Amino acid sequence: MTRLLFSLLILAWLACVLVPLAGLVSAFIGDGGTDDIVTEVSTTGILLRTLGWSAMIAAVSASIGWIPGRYMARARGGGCNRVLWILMVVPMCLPAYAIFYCWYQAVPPGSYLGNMAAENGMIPMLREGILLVSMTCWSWPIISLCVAACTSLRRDRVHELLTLDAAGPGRRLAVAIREDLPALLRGMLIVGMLMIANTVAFDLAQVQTMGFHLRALEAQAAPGWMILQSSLPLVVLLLVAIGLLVLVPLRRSPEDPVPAQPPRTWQAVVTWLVVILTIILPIILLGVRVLGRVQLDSFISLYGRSLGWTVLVSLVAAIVGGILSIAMLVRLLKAGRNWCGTVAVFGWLLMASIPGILLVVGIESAYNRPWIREWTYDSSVILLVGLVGRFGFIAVLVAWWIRMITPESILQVFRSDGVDSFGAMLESMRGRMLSTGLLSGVIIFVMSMGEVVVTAGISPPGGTAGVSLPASLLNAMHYQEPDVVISALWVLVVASILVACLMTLGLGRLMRRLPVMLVLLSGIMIVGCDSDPNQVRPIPIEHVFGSPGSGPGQFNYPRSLAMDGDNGWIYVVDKNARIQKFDLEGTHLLEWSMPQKENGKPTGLHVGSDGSVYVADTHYFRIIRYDPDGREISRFGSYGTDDGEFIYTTDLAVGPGGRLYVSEYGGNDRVQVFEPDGRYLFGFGSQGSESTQFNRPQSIGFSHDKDELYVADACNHRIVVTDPDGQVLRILCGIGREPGQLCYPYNVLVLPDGNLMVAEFGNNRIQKIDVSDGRSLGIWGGLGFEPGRLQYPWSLDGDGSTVAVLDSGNNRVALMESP
Amino acid sequence: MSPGFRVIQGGFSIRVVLGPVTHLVASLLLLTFIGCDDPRPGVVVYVSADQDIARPVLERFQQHSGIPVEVVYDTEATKTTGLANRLRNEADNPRADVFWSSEVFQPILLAREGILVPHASEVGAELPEQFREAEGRWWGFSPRARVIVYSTDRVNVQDAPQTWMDLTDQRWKGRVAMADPRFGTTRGHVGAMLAYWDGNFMPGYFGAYLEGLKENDTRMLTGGNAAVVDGVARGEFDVGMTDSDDVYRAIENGWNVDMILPRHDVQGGSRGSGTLLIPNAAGIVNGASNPVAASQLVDFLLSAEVENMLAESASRNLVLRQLDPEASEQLQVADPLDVDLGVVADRSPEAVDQVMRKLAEPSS
Repeated sequence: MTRLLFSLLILAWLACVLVPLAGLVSAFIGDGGTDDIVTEVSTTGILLRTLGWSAMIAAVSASIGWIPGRYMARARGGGCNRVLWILMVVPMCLPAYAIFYCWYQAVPPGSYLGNMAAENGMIPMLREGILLVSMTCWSWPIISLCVAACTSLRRDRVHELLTLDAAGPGRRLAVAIREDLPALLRGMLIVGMLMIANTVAFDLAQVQTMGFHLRALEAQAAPGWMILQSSLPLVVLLLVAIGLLVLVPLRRSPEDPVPAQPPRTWQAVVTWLVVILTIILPIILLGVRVLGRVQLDSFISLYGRSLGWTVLVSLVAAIVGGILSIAMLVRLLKAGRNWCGTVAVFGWLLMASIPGILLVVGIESAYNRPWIREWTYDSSVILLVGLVGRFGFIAVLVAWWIRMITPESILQVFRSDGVDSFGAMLESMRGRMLSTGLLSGVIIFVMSMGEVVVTAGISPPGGTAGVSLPASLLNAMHYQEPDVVISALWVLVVASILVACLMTLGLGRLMRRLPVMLVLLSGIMIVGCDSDPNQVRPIPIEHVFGSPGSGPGQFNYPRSLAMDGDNGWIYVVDKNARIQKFDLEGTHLLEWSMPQKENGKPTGLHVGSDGSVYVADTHYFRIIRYDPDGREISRFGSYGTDDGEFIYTTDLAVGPGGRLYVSEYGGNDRVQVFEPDGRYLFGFGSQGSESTQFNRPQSIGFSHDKDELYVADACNHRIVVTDPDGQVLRILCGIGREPGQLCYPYNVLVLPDGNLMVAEFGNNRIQKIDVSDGRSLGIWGGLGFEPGRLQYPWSLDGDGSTVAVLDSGNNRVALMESP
Repeated sequence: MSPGFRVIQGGFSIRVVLGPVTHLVASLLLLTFIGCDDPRPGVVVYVSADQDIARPVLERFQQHSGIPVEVVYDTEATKTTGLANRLRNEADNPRADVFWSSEVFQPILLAREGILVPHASEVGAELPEQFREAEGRWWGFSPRARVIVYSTDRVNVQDAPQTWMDLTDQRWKGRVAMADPRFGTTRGHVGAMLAYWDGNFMPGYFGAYLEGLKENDTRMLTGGNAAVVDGVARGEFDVGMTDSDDVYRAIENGWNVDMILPRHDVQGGSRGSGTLLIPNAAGIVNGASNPVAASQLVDFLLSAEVENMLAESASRNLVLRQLDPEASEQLQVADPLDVDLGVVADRSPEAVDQVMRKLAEPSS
């Protein structure tokens, strides 16, 4: 198990540090730069401004967070103090820039305070004041945490001595400051680093910082070396700061701890006052603002998936970070410090310090390679690499700290017993290991939730709703949708309270199950539910013809096919608005063009018993009938929703007595029935998913033997069976990839045996199903380019002995024996 | 000992809250949630247009064509150039099939770098030549206008500046805002000013114009065009240079602002010196894995249907066709600024450099 942990540590370092850094170097070498002018501005002033603001926020946070930190270190457990802990965690779980935005929106245009500021020319001051307040509200709990941690480790004998000496308040204060100074400085260092990295809030507040300057360089397509050169002072500063955090010693846990002094009443009052003013009151105001103007539904519809996905990815990154931290602790306990470890630590620190823009370049350069791209760069794994690479230093830091504060006596016992097995190690250090993993994981989770630059730069494509939560919030701010942002923040507040509750109540058992969960999660994220298309039999092709193009015998994304079984002809219509006629060998015989095509091209063809060709001229809301030589015979239909009118016609079938059944979608989503001369008879169906409704009826077929109509209800992923009068008899199949399930059935064909053959656009296959119950009787095709495979099959037709499948995405027609 | 610091101390007091059942439920939820990524190949599109505008369009395309769409959206932290640079980084192994940009200048540069490839579009051929490339590597559609936003509380419409040159009038001293010109449409606009005035009036006029803006203490804002509108609405400024969609959104929010479509006339009344229109632009990525679907998507974006959708969306894009006369409030500009967008892209770096040298100053 120890070796496994060490292997994980090495693997993570290689994947998240060394490889991206190598990719960055490679990109630099190949970067020819730009010939365009790249406007550079003096960075000294910007750097000083960045540092000044960070220091100011850190100092103010320290002054506010000091007393609550001392109080929390000494307060006993119990309901009130547990609530305090929960509330203090909340700000850290929210994106800092969102907190600023909500504060700023509390003073909207036209408000009293806003008007007063405008009249006195004080808007910039107001805005920067809000920035200072909001960032302080976000970061003072970090100071408190640092102070509380160090205070609880102190030997409290010094306070016994002060009491014996009857020391006055001034002297007590001086001693307290001296005692807490290292913790305060440590906390300020952390807050300062976070402020330097968190420049989005400053952008919103119109305060130009180094982050903005680097983005300006990137916007001008500046070469990587120029970006690195500009950011070098910042990188060095961050490295120094992190180095200080690592190297400045922490106090070890006392060998003979004395009971902590109980907190003073005034400390409790101050603490609660701070919490009420900076956390509770803003939450209440947020809630009041949300009430009556809830845009939660807008947020959920636009960004719900983003929220879930961001939480999930951050959670996995946190779990990985937690395990890395445990592995690092074990490494430190067993082997102590050596040059390997130092190099590894430096690598993690470097990844944390370089600009996110460059990190993106390095990751892309390393992982966007054809031989590994599919399972790295094009999957969620790359997000994991980015986040762990960015925040892995936290795992290192926490492990280092835990190692530093472990009492020497415990370390000696650990070493002298010659503990080698992981089990024994776990037994002796279980608490510290779990603490290490939990603390690292939580911090990495919070940081990952708010990370924007790296995730925006490497996120794999998602569905139409796909973008990370922080980016979603930023976009909503840009789109001037304050109510959406505030509603979202309210959701995050509730979620962070839940997270904080879990933290304070204990997660020991969850931590013990981490390895299993990680394997489960990683497997799911990487593998997903991808079904191997090659488990589907290829089509047993007799003949195939067609290729991409606009010439005779070529296709430009063909979308419908119809067979004249009596004469052995095949008609195909494509996005050139051409109807081509072939024989069964694929010999091009004839072609003609649709009279109009600007609005769109036809998607339905049907050959009548007399050999005439019916065309569902989709975007012209009509049916046109041609003779086999392409001469127009008649046409009917016009745009509308009334009886006999169409929106988007999709297909036509001939029923009893020569009646014409026409399917359509686009709001009508129904089947209408006409006399052979085009006179309207009746219609059935409407848009929806109920049993008598349709959602894009893309194709219809009629069985004269069974006197049944079959409607390929594409977006409901089913076949609806009706009688000739439109009464629904049964519904076959439903959505899915399994046999007997359908995914976007675009065409249905009645086979000689009375069963149905369905072309499934969404599953890249054709499937024969039992007409009585939808049971699968055979599946062929599967995704692919080679003959026998399919890509987006739109249509098929048959003449009793042969089935012609329109392989639209591959621009060809495949002929097979009728199954 | 307070509960939190038991963690630090190592004396971890484990409370049994999450039992095996909870663990199992959590795993199952995660299974369901992450679960089954759709493995179907679709068309991958990088979109820098606003997500709430683009999403319905892409969903409509998906519904019409049945082709799954996988999207990477822009973020306001990285702006349009983030996606353009991403395309450059991925040039050897492109992930995207289509690039839909909210402005045209980055696609122009990408086309020249060979990252976008020619596409013959019959639908696109209906659009004015000014908004498409002859070789078909980028196609412009549904533009936004560069406008002057003004506060209706403090400025009467009769007194509002009618041309860009009016912003140098002393009555606006200290009351003018613009976005940082190194990004987005502002970058393109200053490039257009430089290109147009150099070519149609006299070289050096742009520099003189910047001097006028400088004398008027024009502020450059880091928050982009939306921040300009925000600043005008709050009373920090009276007028500002921004995009039409940002003003429309602010008006919908109930802010007291409105806009002028200013001309670039120097001597008044010359044809082709009107408002600058910056179109959305789309192109097919070189090496796209699904060029068939990519061409369909580009054609769809250029269609009248999408033009109508964007005209009726929150961003109220302008129309280039003469469309449905019953459609409400479609905005057209009869006499847009007649300038070669390729030349604008060429001259933008030079224009930005001049603006930064003259107007850039620390904000605080």
